[in-house]
Amino acid sequence: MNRNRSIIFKIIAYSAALLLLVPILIIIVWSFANNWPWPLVFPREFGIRGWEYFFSPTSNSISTLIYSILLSLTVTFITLLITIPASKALALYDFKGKKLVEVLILAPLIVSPVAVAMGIHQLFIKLRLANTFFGVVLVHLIPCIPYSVRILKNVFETVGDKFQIQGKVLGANPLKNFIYVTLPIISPGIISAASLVFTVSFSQYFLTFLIGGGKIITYPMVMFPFVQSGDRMIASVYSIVFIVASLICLRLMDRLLKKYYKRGDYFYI
Amino acid sequence: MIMPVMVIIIGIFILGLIMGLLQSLGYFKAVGLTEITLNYYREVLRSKDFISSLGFSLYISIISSLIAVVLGVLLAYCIVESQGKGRLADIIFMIPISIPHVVAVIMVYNTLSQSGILPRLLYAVGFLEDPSYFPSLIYDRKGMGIIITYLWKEIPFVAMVVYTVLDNINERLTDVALNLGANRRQVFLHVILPLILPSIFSAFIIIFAFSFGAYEVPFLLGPTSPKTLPVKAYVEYINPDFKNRPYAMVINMIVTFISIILVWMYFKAFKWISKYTGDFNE
Amino acid sequence: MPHIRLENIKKRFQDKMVLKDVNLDIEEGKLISLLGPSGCGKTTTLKIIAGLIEPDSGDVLFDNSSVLSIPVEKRGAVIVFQEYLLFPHLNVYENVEFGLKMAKVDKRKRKDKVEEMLKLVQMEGYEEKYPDELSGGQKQRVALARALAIEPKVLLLDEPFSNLDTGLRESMRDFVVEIQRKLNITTILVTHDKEEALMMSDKIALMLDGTIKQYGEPIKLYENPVDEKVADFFGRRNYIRGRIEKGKFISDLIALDTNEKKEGPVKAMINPENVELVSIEDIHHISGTVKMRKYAGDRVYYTVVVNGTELKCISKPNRLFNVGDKVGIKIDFEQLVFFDDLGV
Repeated sequence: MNRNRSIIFKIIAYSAALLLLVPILIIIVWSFANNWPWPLVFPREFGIRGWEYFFSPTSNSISTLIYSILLSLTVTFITLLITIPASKALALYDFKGKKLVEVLILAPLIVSPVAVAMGIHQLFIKLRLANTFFGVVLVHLIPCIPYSVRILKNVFETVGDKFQIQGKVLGANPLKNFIYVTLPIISPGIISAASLVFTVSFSQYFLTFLIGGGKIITYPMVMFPFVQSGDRMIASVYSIVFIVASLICLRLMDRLLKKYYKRGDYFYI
Repeated sequence: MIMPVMVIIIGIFILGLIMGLLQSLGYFKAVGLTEITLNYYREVLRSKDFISSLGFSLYISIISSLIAVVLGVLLAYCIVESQGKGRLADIIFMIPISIPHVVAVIMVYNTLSQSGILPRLLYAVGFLEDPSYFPSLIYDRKGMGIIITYLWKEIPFVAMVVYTVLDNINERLTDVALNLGANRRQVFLHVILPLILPSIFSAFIIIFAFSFGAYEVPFLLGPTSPKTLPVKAYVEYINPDFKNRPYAMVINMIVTFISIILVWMYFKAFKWISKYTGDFNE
Repeated sequence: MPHIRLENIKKRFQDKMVLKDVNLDIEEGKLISLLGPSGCGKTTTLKIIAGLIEPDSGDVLFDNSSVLSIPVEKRGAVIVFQEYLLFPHLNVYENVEFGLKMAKVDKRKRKDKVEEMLKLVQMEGYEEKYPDELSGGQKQRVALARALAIEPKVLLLDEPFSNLDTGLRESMRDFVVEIQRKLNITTILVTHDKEEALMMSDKIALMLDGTIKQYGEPIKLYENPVDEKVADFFGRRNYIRGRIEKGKFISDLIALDTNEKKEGPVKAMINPENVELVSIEDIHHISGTVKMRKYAGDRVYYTVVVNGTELKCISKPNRLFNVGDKVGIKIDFEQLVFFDDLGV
């Protein structure tokens, strides 16, 4: 009896997975479709026109891609840098105004970054942060921080500070303690947080668009016009590159951190 | 410890909101507006255009979030009950999350526009006679394309949030309840549902707030009119007449205000959650 | 209160054969312990009886009819789990009434039953409290009340006392035995604690490696274990190797006449409490030297060496010997149990 139930649920779950993944397959097909008029179910003509365009120097896509990756990696790095200590504090210590701090840090998850960007734009222009790499990085931090804190705080709460205390007792100074005890233990959380933050930053359009002012061009921005115009083949090509690039970056981060810290798999959302 | 983070949060996030507030109240030094006034608010709140945008935004967010929550919970339940963890859960959850909304838009476009895959399949099978018979799901006044795009990303998200809690509860407490004589339906209603409700609620708030304040998807797939609030705000923002700026900010502030209410609700749910999970650390 | 029987139960988990061939016959109204080391399959057996797991083969019978096709929610065999598992979102009252509510018993009757149960476990006054406000012992009593509220046919307890402090553990044990006798409910208690099993049960089923090695009254298992593995489970024993020939047991240490039917190489088992140390001047059977002494308050553990063989001894603390003392040893030969010596 238990088996039958399990099978029905398996079917539903796999169907859902299929439904979610089929559109991806369709994009892949579209990226190779030179000519695919209505009402054919398969393209009349396959070709790599789209791919040729993508890789040709005129489109600048590769350089934009690399630029975007670098930008998002910077955002990820800075986010981790500032959120690790903050998460530790929120998880393990009590202080005055803690509730307020928590609310403020997690607020950007819910309050629209769009409104914030429009609000701060003027100031950024004045401070000459607008249209700069750094300005865009700064503004990307806003949506990224809450995701990172959410995960890392969870990790710290689960792990507690008993290991740090152990390290202290065995003679490690705060810096050594942090590097040799804290980091390895929370490394699964770091991997989760870094992956999520990278994804959030890499996918940003509006924030980059507004604050970057057209001078700072990231990959989603290059994609946008193609999506708008309805040139499906090229849009599909760009989409696939996006997905593949994301997956590769995430995999590399995952591997790198895992190799360094040799930990198992966790899921700290 | 928390200094650096707070600098960013206060320096950019809070400051951005404050500046937006000031500008919405008419204070915009750069163009010579120095009088604090509620006039802009009055004008906007009375405009028919704004009201219809507000309604449209709320409609899209509510419908997409509700459906996403219901289907997401069911999906999470199916995955947990199918007992085949690992691979499947990872795929279902991780891929839609790492795919940006822009790409999701393309997918929806490719599948469901009048020249998309679905109508082509229906035509080939004989169900459809002409592309125009397929309902226009993109750029339509009902916002179907927008909703479906959101669903594609949000259902896995809800499923992921719920799955974590569900997995924790599921086996042990389900066994206990069954053992005490409850049938499957009763177990779900009286044990599982109450325990996952707080998580469902917080997931709902997050996806509702996101869809309410988002720009990209409604911009790409939305009708010319009504626009959703963030899109409308941007249109006002890029008006070459800087004196128009306050109108944009009023819209932003109204969106922010609604979001702040949601933030409050979210933290209430948080308290609720910790009450129920206290027992699992034994 | 049914008579429960397990016939040839087999269960495999992944590549491990957890239950190899389990047979058990439990009379109505009795409290039996399922005793064994961790991981030997005791909890799995309980879950099979309750219906939470299906056996690969074999049968479970209540009053001689198979219950395998009856789903868990209808079987009436309630488990009280090791972690109690009270519903965190319900208070004490709602937890205890849960089973009754699911069975659609009407409100008035539920109230009476809940009150009765809370009185039974001495938790009156706690109705409004939530599980996270209770101590371990309190949670356990609520879990017990919750299980008994539905008047189950069988009560299954899965290591219920292991999470409690020693003092509490003892009082809870007495408590459970008292309730069991009062309600006369067929009860199976899973434990890895031999003292618990010895003190509480009408019968003990000792489970090792997926089968029941011996099933009988506590005194039988302790004094007449069926083999060395069972013997060792209940405590540290002494083994003297030797032979039995024509009604005589011969070994390096002792020799005596015996009615034991076995012939050939054997091991004679004698419990430490049946080995008495006396002064070398008193009458004794053999003599030896004290190698080690551990004082434990109400008794003293000794290890003595006799002709190169070590013997363990437990004695009362009224006469203490020191390490290195030459002592006399008296053995209660009536208590010798013989096992075949397989040369292991």
